[in-house]
Amino acid sequence: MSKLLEVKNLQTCFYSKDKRIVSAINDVNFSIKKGETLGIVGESGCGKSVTALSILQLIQPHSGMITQGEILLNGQDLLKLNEKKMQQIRGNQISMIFQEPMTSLNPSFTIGYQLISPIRLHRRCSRKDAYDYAVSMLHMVGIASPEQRMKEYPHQLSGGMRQRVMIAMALSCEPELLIADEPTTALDVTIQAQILELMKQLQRKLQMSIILITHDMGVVMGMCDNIAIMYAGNVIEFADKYQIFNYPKHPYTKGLLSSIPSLDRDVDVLNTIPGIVPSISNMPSGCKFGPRCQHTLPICKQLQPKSIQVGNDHSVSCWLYEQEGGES
Amino acid sequence: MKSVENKHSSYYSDVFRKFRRHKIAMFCLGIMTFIIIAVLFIPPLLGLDPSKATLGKSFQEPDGIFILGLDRLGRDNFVRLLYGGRTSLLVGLVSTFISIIIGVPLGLCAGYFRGPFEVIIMRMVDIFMVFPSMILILVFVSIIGPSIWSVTIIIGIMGWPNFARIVYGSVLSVTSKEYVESAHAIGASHFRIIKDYILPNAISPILVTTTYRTASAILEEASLSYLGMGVQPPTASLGNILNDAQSITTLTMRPWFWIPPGLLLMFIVLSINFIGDGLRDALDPKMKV
Repeated sequence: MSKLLEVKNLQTCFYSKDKRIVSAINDVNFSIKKGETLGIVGESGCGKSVTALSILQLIQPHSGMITQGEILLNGQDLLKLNEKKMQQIRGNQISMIFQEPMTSLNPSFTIGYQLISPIRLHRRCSRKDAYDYAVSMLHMVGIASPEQRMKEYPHQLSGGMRQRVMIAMALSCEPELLIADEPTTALDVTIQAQILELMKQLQRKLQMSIILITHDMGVVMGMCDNIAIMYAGNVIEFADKYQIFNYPKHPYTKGLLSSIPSLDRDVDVLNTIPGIVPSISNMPSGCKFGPRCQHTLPICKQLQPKSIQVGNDHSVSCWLYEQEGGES
Repeated sequence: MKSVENKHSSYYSDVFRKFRRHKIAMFCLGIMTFIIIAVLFIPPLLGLDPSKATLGKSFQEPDGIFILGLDRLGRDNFVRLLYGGRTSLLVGLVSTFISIIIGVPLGLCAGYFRGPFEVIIMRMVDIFMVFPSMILILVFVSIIGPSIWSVTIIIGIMGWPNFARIVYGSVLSVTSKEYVESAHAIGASHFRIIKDYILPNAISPILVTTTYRTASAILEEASLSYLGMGVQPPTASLGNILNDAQSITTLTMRPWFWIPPGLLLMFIVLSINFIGDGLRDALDPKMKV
């Protein structure tokens, strides 16, 4: 299958308080095929959300900008489009749902108004058709008595229902790609399972690709085909989920996997990765994971490792595998 | 379901309820209503003419017909008072409207687009705010020439920083909300985001500033007219009526010349300010009354 979205060498920078420019994500590469789900996993502050916002070019112009790279959607570079063209792509070909369903809907308008406006924005249709379509969308995401809900305001809905409305809104123009930025983090576990199941269902129905951003390894295992592990603004390992779970290569990926608590074993102390993510304005030289890594080589402190292929569609950025994989 | 349904109309009914509980504001609303009705309807209903002079009766003391007496030219003081009130309200409202027209869009641009807009517009606000506006107004009026419209326009232009600043502030607090980001993500245009997401959140501070600004515009007009740089006779204004009453004899011997216009001005300005206070408290969803 052909690649739907390809991100190449993406770099996004932000202006810091003292007017310096610091890069939040660096040399990010990944691709996603039609109908596939890609999971982007990493700790807080590793650049997952920045990557997502960069794809849609939603970085606030006064706070930062995309400085390098290509974002190819069906072969067309989104970074070369002007704002007007981008507005036509947002919500139409690429949609996004956010982490916080409680605040993602405009409190001053009804659900109906907010659902109808993107439909009317991207599809030429009458108000009546848009209304009917919005009702059917609400029905599709499993909201009971959709006509009633259309008249209500966001504060009258529960968190799970709001997230369903957000999904309905994001999918109303049948996008080819849905970016879900921690869509279930703010919801409780049962609702979380329902929402994820709903997303999977709709994905099959609409033949769309999903980029799922999360820090929950369980969610990733259940949902994704491929996984990109991010650390401090870099994709450090990229492979399909079986490779990642069964044969993790990067020490950080291994650390993440071993810190998942298991129900079968009784342990007193949970496994953790020592240290914290370095701040983007004060990055260590060489490999960014170096200071927290248990397998550091002398070269780790000097040079940042390049991404190398270690298997079929399995790439990793770590000096430990440089000899095995050969030159990249 | 019934109770939930009641809830969503509750913000504005809540505002209304809270405003009604604000005793001073309600009292002042009564006074303002009375003043507005008086100055708007009494003169046309009674066919009163502010320029009609009764010859040979200058400085006549109050009696049954002329309840505030006659002025230097034999014109009815009471009629001139009503027309002065009209002028004040007209200048206050129109100039505030002008301030809104200029200030709100500029504040929106500064807060929404940030970058150079923010720097230029907000520094201009600072410059306007620190400069003593009365002196600036006097200079402009003397260049353009005093008249009711020039005064209105200049006071209106001088009032824009108040609105720009208040709108800028609320735009900043709204644009960081997630629902604005998600509106961008579904491809909404800047115009739509401003109209649907930003403005509704800025309405309450704009309303409150409107009341305060109207009150100070009325005061500014009165001061200008008092200085002779505002509304020019024969058009009556509270300021030039007071200006007419400057002589020592009038001040000491004829209090009916200057007490009524002074009181009217005071009541108008105080009432508008208290109504603004009431509105501010009522529109604030955190205030529990």
